[in-house]
Amino acid sequence: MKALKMMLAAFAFVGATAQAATNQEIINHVSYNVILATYNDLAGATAKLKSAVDTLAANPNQANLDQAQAAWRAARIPWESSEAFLFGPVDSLGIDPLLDTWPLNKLDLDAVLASNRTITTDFVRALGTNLQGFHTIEYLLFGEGKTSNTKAVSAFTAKQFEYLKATSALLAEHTAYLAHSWSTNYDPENPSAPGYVTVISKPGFDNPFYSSDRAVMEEFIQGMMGIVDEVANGKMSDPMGADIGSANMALVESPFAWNSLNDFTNNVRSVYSIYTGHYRSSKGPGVKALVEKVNPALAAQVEQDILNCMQLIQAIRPANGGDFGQAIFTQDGRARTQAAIDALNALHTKLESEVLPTLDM
Amino acid sequence: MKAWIAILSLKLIMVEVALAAPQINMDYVRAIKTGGDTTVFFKGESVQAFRNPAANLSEDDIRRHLSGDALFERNFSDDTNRFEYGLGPVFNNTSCNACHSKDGRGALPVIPFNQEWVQLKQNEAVFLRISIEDGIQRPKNAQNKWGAPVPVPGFSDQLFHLGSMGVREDIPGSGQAQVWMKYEKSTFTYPDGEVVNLRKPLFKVTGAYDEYFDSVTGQTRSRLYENDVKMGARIGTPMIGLGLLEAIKESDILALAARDLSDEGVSGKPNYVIDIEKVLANNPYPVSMGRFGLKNNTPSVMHQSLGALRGDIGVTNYAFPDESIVGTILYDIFKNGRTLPMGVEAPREVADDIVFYSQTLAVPSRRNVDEAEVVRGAELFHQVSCTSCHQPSYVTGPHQIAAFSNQKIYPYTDMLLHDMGDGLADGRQDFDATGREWKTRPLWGIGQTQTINPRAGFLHDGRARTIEEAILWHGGEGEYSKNKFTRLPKADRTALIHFIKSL
Repeated sequence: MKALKMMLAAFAFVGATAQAATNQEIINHVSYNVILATYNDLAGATAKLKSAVDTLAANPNQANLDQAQAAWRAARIPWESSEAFLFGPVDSLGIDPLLDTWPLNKLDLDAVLASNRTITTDFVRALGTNLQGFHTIEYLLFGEGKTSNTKAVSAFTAKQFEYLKATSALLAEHTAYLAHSWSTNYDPENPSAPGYVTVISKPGFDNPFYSSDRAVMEEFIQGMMGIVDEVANGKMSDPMGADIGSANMALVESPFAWNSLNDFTNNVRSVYSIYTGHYRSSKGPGVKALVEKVNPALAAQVEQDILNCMQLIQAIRPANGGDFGQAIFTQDGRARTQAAIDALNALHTKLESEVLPTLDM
Repeated sequence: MKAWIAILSLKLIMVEVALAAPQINMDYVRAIKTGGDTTVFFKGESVQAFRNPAANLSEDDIRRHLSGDALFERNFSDDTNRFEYGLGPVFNNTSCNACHSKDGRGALPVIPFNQEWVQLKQNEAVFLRISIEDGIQRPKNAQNKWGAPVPVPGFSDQLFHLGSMGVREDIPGSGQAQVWMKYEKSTFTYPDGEVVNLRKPLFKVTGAYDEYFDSVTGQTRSRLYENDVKMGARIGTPMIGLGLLEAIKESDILALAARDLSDEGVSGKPNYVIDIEKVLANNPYPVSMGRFGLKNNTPSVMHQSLGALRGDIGVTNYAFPDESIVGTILYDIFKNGRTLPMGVEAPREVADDIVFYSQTLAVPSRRNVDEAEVVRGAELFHQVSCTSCHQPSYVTGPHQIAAFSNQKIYPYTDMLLHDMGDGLADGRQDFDATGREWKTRPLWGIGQTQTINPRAGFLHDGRARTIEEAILWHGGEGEYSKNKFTRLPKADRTALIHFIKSL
């Protein structure tokens, strides 16, 4: 009986997707319930991070440090889960570098912290992008990251708290601006411009950026391909180097909190979200619905490949502690990294040579 | 004596090529393979349109291209402990990619509607060229640096608005000065009554490092604020097809310069500029024809790229081994008490891979070539004489990268300088280019510009938000064509723009 119910449910599900969402339905769902929802989550999470940092600075104890560190990790999730759609305002308004430039410029940060300057949000705003954003906060909250990712509360200086508060306030400001640009006004030079979600979800002749629904669908697929390539051939390959001797910890993203593998996994999770239309509890048609119309076997295989890549990335984690930055200095860690890179590159090839062409079938 | 021979032989070449007066080959109307065999094909619209290696490169070449690709995106740092060391001490940006967004055009900074001025910060795609301008055209000799712009004393010929920590103790993060921008708005009215809003960026400079208060005049002064200093904005330009432009035969360009287009008020001319390769080879007359830069002020992709690597980012290299502000007081102040690393910052292979990458980015194919509207627009393009300067096609000559040799290409540029009128003038001479002259921009790929960067702006300072605005800014030698364009019925103007967007 139970089995029958499940079978029926499975049929109903297949039926629903095979009913075939149109491009426009996919675009609508992905724009509102994946992309806009992610940016709203990001703005909320960075606001929480800011208040956790303020609490820590006002009352430096272990519990408050734990909470601030947890808030940083929580804010990383929506951001890294947005990297399959680095188009639109995050790019055109220059927001990405303000949030996520890495590596951090530790030399200059240490110089500022050692100086007598008063640290304000406007002071930090005027500095380079590699002196603000997620990784500056990460370094200040978690410490050096080489042999551990913990920092004692006693190690914080008053100056570090000032800097943390200023840069966390800026991070929350920039992400609120990003969410606003998607929900309400994408062009700050033009008060009557709508939110970008309205623009991207209504492609057509009068649309300034997308002349057809095909163009938006291609943007989605190219976005997926872009981050798959970036994780494999930038974020993982660059620090790994050709051999152990040329591995470079300074090129690892999120090395202080040991959050790299979670970052990479969430990057691929954003590919999953665009592909399936699943984000948090929201389920709707994604790019997969388009592929299904042409080749159901391919559609299912790509979903499986994406999940497999996420698993292979998590499998890089060293058994005896540490994260990606430690794994690339061991032979077996490098082998596991290479396996993930190979799987990502294979996924990229499949997206490019099999998924992209379904747009024109 | 040598210079005399050079002039004589140049004249002989000009006579020879004048005989083979180039015709406009109308095959451009339906030509799809814009970059010949180097062309890459896309079905739709994509942010990746400019990010691909030329289609006919060898496997070894692709590997080099990819290595250059990673460097092009690299954020350089002033931290000597870091792998990508070399940034600064003063600079305009921290990576190549930051000005050439996804290898395409840059955008002007965002000015929120309730704000007048905005300060140029990090990650803007625009910077100012500066020089002393007295209106005198100097002879081309070593003493006059072969006609190079005269740098502003205490500065150089480029204003670096960003600086490494420690360069400006008074304004951390700033370089030689702070730069601000606002818009001057205007309108253009077509003969049929349609109105188009135009905008032009205006710049002001504050906080110069040599600034002082003059109690006699009651003014804040700096060498930079004197009247003989001219400034001109430059925005990051597309990186596609540069190797192909390098492979266009010099004789073909000179033939275009030799045409008599006086009926249209057009008279394109080449620029002759310092050639760093000839300098490195100790050539006593290190001058070549310019092909790159908005005033054709560099002769090769190598010179242009490595000049930008040292200038825009402050990364010294074998072609430009000195920091950009060597010899100025700001550098002496910065040096004081610091141990600076010796030698150039970018290793030879890094520099060469960046050059190679810059040469080998592919031009995307034309789109919608069979649409009636596009075909009609293509013919109108010629009818209103856009083709006089935007020369549609060439067959390239030999190039050290075999893939670029003997290709039929459609770049839509004559590679020459033209007086573009007061509206676009920056008032700065640059070798043989006057303050009103600019190189004809290649139009290939232009239709994908705003797919890649929705805010990207056209023309040398990014002022034009649309292709239409860019056309309407054409003055001087462009006036004739612009007037013909503006007198077209609206439907024809639209068709012509459709054609340009198909490129």
